[in-house]
Amino acid sequence: MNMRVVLKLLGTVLMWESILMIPSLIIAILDNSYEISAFIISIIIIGVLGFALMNIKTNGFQMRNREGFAGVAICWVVMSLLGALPFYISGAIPAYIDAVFETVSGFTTTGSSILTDIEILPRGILFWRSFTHWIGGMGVLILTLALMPSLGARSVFLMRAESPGPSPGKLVPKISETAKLLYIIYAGMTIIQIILLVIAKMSLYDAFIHAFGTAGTGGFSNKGLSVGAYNSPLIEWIITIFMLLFGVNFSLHYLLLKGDFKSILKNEEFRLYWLTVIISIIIICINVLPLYNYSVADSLTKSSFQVATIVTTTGYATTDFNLWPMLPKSILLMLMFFGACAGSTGGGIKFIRVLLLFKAVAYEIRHTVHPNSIGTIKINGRKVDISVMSGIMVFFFAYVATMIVAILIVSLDNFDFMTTFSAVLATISNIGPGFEIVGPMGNYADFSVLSKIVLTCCMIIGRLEVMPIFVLMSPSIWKKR
Amino acid sequence: MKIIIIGGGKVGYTLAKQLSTENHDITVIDNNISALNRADETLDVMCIKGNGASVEVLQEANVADSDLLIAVTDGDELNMICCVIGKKLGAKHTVARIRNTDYSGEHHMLKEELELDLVINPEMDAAAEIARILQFPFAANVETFANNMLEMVEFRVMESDPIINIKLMDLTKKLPSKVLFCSVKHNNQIIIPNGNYIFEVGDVVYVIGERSGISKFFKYLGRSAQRAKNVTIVGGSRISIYLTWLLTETGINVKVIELNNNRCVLLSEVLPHALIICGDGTDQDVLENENIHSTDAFIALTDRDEENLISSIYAHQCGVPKVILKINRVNYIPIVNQLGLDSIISPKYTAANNILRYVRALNNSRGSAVEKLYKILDDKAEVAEFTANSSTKFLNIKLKDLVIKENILIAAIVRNKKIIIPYGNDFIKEEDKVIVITKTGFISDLNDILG
Repeated sequence: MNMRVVLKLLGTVLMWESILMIPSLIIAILDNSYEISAFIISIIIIGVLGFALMNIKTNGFQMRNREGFAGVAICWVVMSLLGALPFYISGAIPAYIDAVFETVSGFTTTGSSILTDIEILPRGILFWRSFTHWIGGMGVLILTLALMPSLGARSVFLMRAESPGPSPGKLVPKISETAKLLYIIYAGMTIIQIILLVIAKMSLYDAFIHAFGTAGTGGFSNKGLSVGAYNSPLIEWIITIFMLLFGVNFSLHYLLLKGDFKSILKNEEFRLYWLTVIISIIIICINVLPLYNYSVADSLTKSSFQVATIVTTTGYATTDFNLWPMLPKSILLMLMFFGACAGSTGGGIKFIRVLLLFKAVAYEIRHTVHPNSIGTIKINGRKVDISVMSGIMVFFFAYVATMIVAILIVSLDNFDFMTTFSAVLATISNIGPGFEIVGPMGNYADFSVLSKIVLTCCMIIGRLEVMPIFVLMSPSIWKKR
Repeated sequence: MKIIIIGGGKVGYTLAKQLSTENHDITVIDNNISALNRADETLDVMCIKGNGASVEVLQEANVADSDLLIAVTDGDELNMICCVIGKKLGAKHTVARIRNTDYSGEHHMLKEELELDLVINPEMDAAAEIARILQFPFAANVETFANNMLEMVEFRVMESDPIINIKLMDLTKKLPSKVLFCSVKHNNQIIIPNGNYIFEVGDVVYVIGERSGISKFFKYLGRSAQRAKNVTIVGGSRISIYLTWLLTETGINVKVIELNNNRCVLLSEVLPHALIICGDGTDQDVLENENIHSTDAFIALTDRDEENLISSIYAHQCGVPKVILKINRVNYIPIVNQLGLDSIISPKYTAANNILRYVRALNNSRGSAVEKLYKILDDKAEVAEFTANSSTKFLNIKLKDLVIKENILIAAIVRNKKIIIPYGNDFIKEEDKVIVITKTGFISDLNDILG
């Protein structure tokens, strides 16, 4: 691996990270709160480091596949380690490992928190905490590509490594234009949501915080009770709808802008996503009806919100679904596995992979019954390349294997099975809340340092979809050639 | 501009690479996934897998919005269909590569009937280029400008040449005719020489001037201007057929050596005036039997670069005065140059350059567009021909009063069929053809040369 290329890339990313801290600093200055110095110190440290690395000379070396993948992984790790500085320096989160957990949870749009009391924290810190969702949702490298096209043609490797989904594609021929378009759609939807939330009588600051959490499908709130604190069905519905929209592949939003409704409705992943969401909502709604005094409206609001928050891997809460019957809980657990659509800001395995894995099973059954039959796996009327299929299977195995290892290590803390299992699942799928202790009203504060490190790793592995981080572990990548 | 390229082979890839660096939006369509992967990984282009003649695929590529559709797949017929459908679906301009010899006489009709804006035949262009080089056996390469009035010739400076060890400004006074030294490759560096430059042995020089002036200049150098009378061609490819047609027309004796018996029969049908030999052109015995020592020019045109190289080196050693070879992999050209073989033809590359020139002209339909464009000296410099018109900002201003960008040279002006090698007191008038040499990126408009 060519270290210079990777370090230069890292420098660019850090430069942007320090710039992106400025809005939080401004809020801190407006409040004249104690975290001003923490932000200033962090911005200087990250900015200077970034500037130094950015000026490394690459001697015209072009990025290759390995530099792309390893570079993205290194950028995410270093960005998280340094992004934790404001929390740590200001003393808002006294332990550095906790601060890193919180930052990674932010950047990976997980939304798991180790904080027991959120509402005592200053607004600047909470703004940075939620802003990391927005940065990490679409990806910081894609932001870099949008703003600095000079990274060159080969930066397609960066996009592949950072974008979720089996085969991320471009929307338009130029990669920088694609990145810009993605961010325009992303920012546009965020702004619309902020406006709607303000109309629904949320304060502007809270609207920003919750729109960031929704857009990145993260889930950090500035309230202890999350969205439930507002006790407003209107706000809940706005957030439900926007969560589901941010869970859709962004290339479909682009088609929507172009007015191509036919291709959107034909998209198999899109159809499966909405079908699953609607069926889950109906079943859960009927099932939890007794808990809400047989009020269909209440029950529908709560069940839709929980389904949306879990399926898009956001992690907001309006109610404690730990208290629900077993069937709704099982459905939510299943949705935790699925995650959102490829090319969205959500985490998890992604619907397209689930769909293709089912198709592979159907294909295998047919092949067993008719051993000489020849067939292809198709999606949206197109043949799926065999390398894509094997990539999905390898991804699925690596994902499950990572989960098993993580569960084994987290088991050392001796919590109940549901807590242990759902904590790992909720972090690797970038959801946030799990069941029992780590449920929607709980937090991750009670885990040991080791478990916190393991869960932090799970979050990054899940966000970057396994391969970039595993590539870093390959010895040959660290050799000079 | 939004450009769709159908076919991601050598020509398609070269085009996509060059055009994407010139800031166009490129979509490449190909059926071959590995060709697409290469383009996707190394270029900033969008790739679509599929048949470029299918309406669905073309619509996915947004053909209705596209400014230009370039069809450069392997099949002539497919290229034609792609262009016809593309135009029906809204592509503003279409370019097709059509290279089968059967269609060679029908380009004009094809262009009209299929509404093609440009038809490219790389083999025919390459054959024309070889024929041109054979007219100047002392030169490595020849390019023409201003309706063939002006010629630019590449040659390598030898020890016996009387132009070494003298300052350029003193040399120009001694020369028998008016020519301009427009660029020099010296130790792998590209130089646009000024009056203080001194030629050294081994420099590759481009000199521009009228045909008669160039001939006089080479006579002054003491190089024979004897035209080739007997030409040996190895390989019976399409270029060989076009070339033989061109050469036999002017009374040159052509001998074609081809390995494949069936191909030889076909060649004898279409090339009645040439001598067709069935044999291995890389076999020394075959070449000796065909008296390679006495041939005036040896041209290697088989499909394999390696065979062309081996037989050319042998011919060069046998003392054949002019050796020309075809190389497909352009990155090997500098290595081949080191072996003393300067005259190299790469048809696919030529084709890509021809299309590139057309695209730039399209891109600049309002200003003074590029009319001819050559990349010289391993792509490090470009020679472009413009016609000055009312949009040109520096008409009738003396050149010495203009601030021109560094590394740009106005090499020649053609006015009323008269060639002017410009000095400080000359100026550009409307309707003049202007030849500009640059080593800093591309210029698409004559006004771009101003500093």
